Amino acid sequence: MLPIKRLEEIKQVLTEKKQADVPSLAQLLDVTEATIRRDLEKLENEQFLTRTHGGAVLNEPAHANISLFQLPEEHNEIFQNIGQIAAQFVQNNDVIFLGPGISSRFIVRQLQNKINVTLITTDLMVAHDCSAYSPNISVILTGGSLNPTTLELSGQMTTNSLNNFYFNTSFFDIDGITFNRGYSVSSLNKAFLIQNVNQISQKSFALCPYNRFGRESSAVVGDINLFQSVITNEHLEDSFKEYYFQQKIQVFATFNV
Amino acid sequence: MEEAILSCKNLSLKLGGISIFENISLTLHRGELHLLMGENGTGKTSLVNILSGIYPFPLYTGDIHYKGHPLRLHMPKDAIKQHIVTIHQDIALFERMTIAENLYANLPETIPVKSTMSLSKKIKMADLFFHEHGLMIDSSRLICHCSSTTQRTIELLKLYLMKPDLLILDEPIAVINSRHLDIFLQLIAYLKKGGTTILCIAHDYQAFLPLIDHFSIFQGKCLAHTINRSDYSLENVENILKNDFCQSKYPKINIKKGAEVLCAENLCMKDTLKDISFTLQKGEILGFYGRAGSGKNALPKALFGIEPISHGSLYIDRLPARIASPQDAINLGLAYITDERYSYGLFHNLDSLENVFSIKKNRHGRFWTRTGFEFKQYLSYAEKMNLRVPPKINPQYLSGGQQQKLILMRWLMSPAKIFIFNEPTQSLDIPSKIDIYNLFNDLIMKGCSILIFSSNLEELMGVCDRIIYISHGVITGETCYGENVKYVKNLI
Repeated sequence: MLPIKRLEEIKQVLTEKKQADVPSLAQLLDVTEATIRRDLEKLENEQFLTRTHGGAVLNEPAHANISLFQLPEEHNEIFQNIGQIAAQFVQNNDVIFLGPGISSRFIVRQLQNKINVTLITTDLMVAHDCSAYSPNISVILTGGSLNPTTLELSGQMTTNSLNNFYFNTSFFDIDGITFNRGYSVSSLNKAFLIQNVNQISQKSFALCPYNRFGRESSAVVGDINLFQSVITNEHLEDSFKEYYFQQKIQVFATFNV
Repeated sequence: MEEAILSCKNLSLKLGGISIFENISLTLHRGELHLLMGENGTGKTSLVNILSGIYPFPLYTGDIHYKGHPLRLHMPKDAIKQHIVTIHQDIALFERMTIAENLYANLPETIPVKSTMSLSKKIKMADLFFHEHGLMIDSSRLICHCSSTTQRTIELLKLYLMKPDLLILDEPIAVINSRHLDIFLQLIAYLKKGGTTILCIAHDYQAFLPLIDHFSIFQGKCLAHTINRSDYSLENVENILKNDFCQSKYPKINIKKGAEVLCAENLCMKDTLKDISFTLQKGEILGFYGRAGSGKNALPKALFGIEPISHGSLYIDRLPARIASPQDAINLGLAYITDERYSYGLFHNLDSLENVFSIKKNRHGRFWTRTGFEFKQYLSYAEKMNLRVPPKINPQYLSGGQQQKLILMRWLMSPAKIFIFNEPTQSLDIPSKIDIYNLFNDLIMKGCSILIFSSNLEELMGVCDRIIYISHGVITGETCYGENVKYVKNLI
């Protein structure tokens, strides 16, 4: 095995396990322990790891970078089910838009089997998850100014670049729905973005877990009849189900029995 | 013709907090035939139930005037006293009595046939009566031994004796064949001539089109349009009906279909089904549309081994399958969710938990014990299905939607792969309907296949990948999801 290849292997083991000891690395790569020690020294000079007695530990900064993209633990199952249903509406050869939010991050995890799909998003986290879980999808990020806490893009540049597209399907993560104020989201930028993209999409879906129904968020997107399809989960309140059905709006409630 | 015999003003009905229809106004003139149309569940039958006294007076709000006086019916008998006769969708005869006895039962008091008359005399009179109408019916037979066509004909012929002033027909010709249709048409013509007013609900109105004076169309809980015979054109009516047809409100997902899981070839069942052939793929929802008596109810029962197949073959997963009893069907991975939820779907003497585990018990052949595991499993399934029913409760206290989910839960716990639904959303409230549609989606995403038998065309068009149309026991056509509604209407 070439030394460069060996270094790659050691890096991979360390990224996965965060730490490694010299004897097991030697056994794994089929070289002497002295060779491993020399390799580790090289990698320490690259500041990839810190050598310790009998082994090495992965350096923290690289680790911290990943945590920004980590998902909050709560309600994962609900979002997963919503993502699964939403992924059914992505056809091969589609151009789709995924709005910022956690629901979108779960949709891109279900797209491995799609062919020739182009994804446009303003959320860096969605883009990250897409390349991590569904590398077959080609991702296009819009320009714009970056919000450092949510990693979302917004602004005039975003609007300009979005206007170059026409979307087959768009998915929007909605933060609150009431009968009176309709759909609302947490920031004015996001509301403006959704209104804009909704107009240039063939089909739009509102994604909203049941506990956001009956709640209001700060910026209004549009009234309750704005979207023709809503994806939520099974515990949605009866009054909403009844209203939507009478208004001829599709309601997907993600049962997963 | 000008004289109004019945007028309803601002009639509204609410049952169990759900509004059935609102502010209906309808006027019927003497000697006219008035046709009532509209999709299922828009309140046509409920209106009939009010006019025939089944829903008594204080249940609804609004005014009904009959022959110039306010009409207040407290029971069905009051209606007959007022010469208002109703022929209901389901046949209402005494099953364990002879044809003759049925013919002379429940007549208005003005007709000089005493119910105390001897049976032999009734049979003699009835034979004479049938002979007059050119029919060969043995009136000493029991009703339960007659076919549904004969039963309906007897109900209709009874009208000659009753001579009603107002006749209400709810889908009168859905179950009868073409020979008896002539009898029906003669009857309508005869009664109209005699001055009887007829209010008729029928989907299949083409047969008696020339006799119709007015059309009324129910649309979304209201009486939307009334059309005169002179303004009538087929397109006019079709357009109005079509507007109410909405496919897109049903939550439907498209998934990739797999291999063939069920195939039926030339299925026959003694005089109800003939040459039924179809295939079902993995992940597919296949709908069967038919009216009452078309064989739509017989086919699922035949597939599940409740009623015997006289001829034809079945293949499950491409292997020949013999289904002689429901147990065979369960072993082969079939599940049947009946339309008669309460009478056939659930055990009344068991609580919800025991009902859910009633198949499991059969499969393992062990004695019934309520283990902690089953308790836990019940609760976790109930949570996932959004069913808030404690395990100890008896199913008789549950709503239609809850009963349906309970039956479904029973099958979801079994390894069934092919689900047969008969009228899955009949008499359910809207939230339960939406839950059922979404459960269909969950089933097909898990690799199951679904057969739906229904008389609600809109719903079938909304949720099925393909629809097969059955009429008089044979397949008359097939459409795919999204095909032209007008084309579909021609097929029926």
